[in-house]
Amino acid sequence: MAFIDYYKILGIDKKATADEIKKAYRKLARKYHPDLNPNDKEANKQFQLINEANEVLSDAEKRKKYDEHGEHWKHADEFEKAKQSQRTQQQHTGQNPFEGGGYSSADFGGGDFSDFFESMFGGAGRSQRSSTKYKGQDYQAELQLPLREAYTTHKRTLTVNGKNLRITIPAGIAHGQVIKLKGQGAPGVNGGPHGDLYITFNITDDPAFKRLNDDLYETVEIDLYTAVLGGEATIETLSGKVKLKIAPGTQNNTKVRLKGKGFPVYKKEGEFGNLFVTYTVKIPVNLTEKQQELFKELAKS
Amino acid sequence: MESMQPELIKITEYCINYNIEPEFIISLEESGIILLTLIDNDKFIHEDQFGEVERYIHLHYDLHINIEGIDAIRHLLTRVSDMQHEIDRLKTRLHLHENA
Repeated sequence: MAFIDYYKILGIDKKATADEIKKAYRKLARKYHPDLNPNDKEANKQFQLINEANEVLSDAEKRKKYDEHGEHWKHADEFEKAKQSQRTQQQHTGQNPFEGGGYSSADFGGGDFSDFFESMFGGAGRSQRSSTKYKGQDYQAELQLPLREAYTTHKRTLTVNGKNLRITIPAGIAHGQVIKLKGQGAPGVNGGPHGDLYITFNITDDPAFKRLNDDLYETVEIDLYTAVLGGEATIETLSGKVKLKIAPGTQNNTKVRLKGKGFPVYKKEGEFGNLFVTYTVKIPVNLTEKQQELFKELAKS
Repeated sequence: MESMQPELIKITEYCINYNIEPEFIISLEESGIILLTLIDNDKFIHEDQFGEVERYIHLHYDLHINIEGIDAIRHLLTRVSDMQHEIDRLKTRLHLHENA
């Protein structure tokens, strides 16, 4: 666990007065506050750090303890105990809604403190900022989904704060799309409503298909002879294999459109985008002498 | 899940929960930043606006930004959000031409 230089974070001198600390904190808070930097994880991290620095340096007792231990701070037993009590507490407050692999979550509420802080000051160290609230905290989570899974409507069970939540993911969901699950955030206070759960979908790339809105793009290799003389090619689509007629004299990079073979349109059943197939013509290599002769003849003809 | 949640809350009640003055909420409305619902001479906040109003409370009480500043920030955040969407769209388009 690394030592954190709170003075450096606030950009102040070790002899800074309480007023200077307050000023420095407010200036940085205006820059990194999550409400001014929506969806910016870096700014949120920075905000948590300056909050933590302010928490320590604006409290005479904590500042004294921090200054005394300084960089020579070590893993003392009492800190370890305090850390454990903090862990128990965190299970109740639950900042990270998702458990288990496959999901990552980010909380933009600015609530998490570093391990360094928790170890030095423990669970009791954190003072309650703006304790009176009404609506419960919103949860932010990210869900990774391979392109082929986004092709069909399917159900998924997520674990949110120990509770299983079954959600339906409609076919055609887009990369970066956010689904709001009302009332699935933290409980409200004083009769206030629950917060909401926001799930951002992260559609991962597919080796064969690229997607733009509802259209799919695929590259298919055809041999030189089929390109010159015409013929057939069997290609893969997300709804199965399709046989295509190749016209004689098909040029390299020719693009054909297969209507309705693209991606399903979100929440419009039966509607599909297009599939664009680009042909790349494979030029034969390692020719035998005989083949070379034939090509030479062709060239002269 | 929970259906007993209020859809509208009286601003006086809302302000007690957040420990703020009702005048702040009224000024947000007067500046056209939020919409309040008037029922029998009482003003209410709709649930849909809770998130937004809470953000303005943070800006005002934590960061000491006045109503005019909040209004300006609101416009800028909308533009930032529009631009972010545009960047996402362009990234997706660009992605199509990469490693092609």
